[in-house]
Amino acid sequence: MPVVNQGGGGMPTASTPSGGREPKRYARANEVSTLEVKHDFVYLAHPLRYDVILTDRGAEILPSLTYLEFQPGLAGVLPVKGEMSGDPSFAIVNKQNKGWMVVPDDFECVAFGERRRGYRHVYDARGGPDMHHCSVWERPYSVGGQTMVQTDEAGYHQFLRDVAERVLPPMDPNVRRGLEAKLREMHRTSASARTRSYSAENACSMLEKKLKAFDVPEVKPTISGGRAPKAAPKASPGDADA
Amino acid sequence: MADEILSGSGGGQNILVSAVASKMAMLLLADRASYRNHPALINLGEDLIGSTTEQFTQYGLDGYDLMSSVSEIQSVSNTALTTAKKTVAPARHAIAYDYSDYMSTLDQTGQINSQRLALSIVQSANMTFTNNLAKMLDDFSTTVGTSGVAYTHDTFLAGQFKLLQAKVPGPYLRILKPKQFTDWQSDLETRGGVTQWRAASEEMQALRGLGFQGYYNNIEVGVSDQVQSANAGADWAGGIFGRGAIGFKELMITARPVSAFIILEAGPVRVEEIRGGRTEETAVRGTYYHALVEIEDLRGVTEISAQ
Repeated sequence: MPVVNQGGGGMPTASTPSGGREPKRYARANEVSTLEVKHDFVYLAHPLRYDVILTDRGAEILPSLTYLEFQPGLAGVLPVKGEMSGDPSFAIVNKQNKGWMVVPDDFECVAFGERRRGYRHVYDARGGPDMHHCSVWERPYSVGGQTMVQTDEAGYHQFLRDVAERVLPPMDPNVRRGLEAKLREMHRTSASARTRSYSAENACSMLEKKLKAFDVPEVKPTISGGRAPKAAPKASPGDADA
Repeated sequence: MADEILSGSGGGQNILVSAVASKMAMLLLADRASYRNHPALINLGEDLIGSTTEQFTQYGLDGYDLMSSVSEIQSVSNTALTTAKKTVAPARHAIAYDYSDYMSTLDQTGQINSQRLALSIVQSANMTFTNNLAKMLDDFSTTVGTSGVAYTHDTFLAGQFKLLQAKVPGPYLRILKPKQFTDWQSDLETRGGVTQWRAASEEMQALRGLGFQGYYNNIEVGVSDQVQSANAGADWAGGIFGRGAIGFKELMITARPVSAFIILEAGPVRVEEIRGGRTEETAVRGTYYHALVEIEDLRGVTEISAQ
């Protein structure tokens, strides 16, 4: 009986005779979490921070959010004894003074077709007792020893529409005017021969059609997690209606 | 023929081990370009007494207020002094390695010892700082670039223009994710007009790894893998800022018990060796208290582009 691949140095291949024995098991890459620690966070919207975003409805003017990570020492987040995530109350007030508005952490949204309350979830992380917090529209998974992220862009874009409607005040006409000019510029740029040749444009369009026709299977998360995070530290009174 | 001494059978096989451990030690790939000493950042000092937080004030002086035109014998009214307060709260960042005497004895590469690990910890502190700096880049209320669209020379110029329009003084630092930078390189390659003839356009095409890439339009361009994602993982959020946008405060830990065995003190980074007597293990622990804060929002611009 041939002895195959006992050293663990090579990779088994389909043509390797196994001699009827169980193939050697290698540590599966997707069992290892390679995610960095990322603290709990809250999304913030600003009445003047909008962007032209390409969505499945075409180009839309939607809020450009940022997030405040509850990392002690960063942006005024205060350290809390015994806690990995800090107290963001002071940092949130600082942000509110500059016009930012908190998107409540129990905001109702849809991610990967599932309706849920709250836009954050957590995964195990490498190198630290804390976890990797990310938005519910991101699903990290491991393949070939590398961490990839599956994103639900359509879900996130719907979230942005909801934030514009339920958190932010009506858009300032000046913002709209500025972004409409940007939108026109984008159309000009994409049509310009300077940035895209006809053949490249054609190839892009063909590739896009092919990708649409290709049935991409849903990626199941392989890193333990996807749980709801701990309730965010309480912010100062008045944050919820901000 | 029989009983040859071969590497794969008989006596030869017993002499050889399956693999010989190399004495060569090499570094794994990592981002090691730090921006801590860049002059666009403001160092807010290393002292903190009486509180865990510190406030500092910005003044609207030296040209912030203009004079009013007043006629002869007309009384001039008082001008309210404009100020802004910011708070900074240094927090503890730490890392620890633990090794046994046995492992240190067996180590043929010379890496598993307190001194070597202490040096590594200093660089870890540098990169933790850079990671936190990169997290601030998405905090500016002014943004350029478009979600889902690659970084182009237009994005580069738009960020630059926003800073000028907001009266921001230099020096300027732009930090981009490697993907943002290579998208910009691609766009520069296709540019016509004046851009194609500029020496800086050609300079920017050179492969330099991470870190400082050179100057373009008097802006120092840096590439960092610490730049964070935005828009639920769809984009990267790099940024450009001038002096005064972001400040940092580091804390020197001066009080220490006599039993502390400090093996390295590099400014605010302190590395201590702790001996576990019963287990014959040694812990090497590095601590770095620091904080970063956005000082003035309009001095920076977030640059969004597709991943």
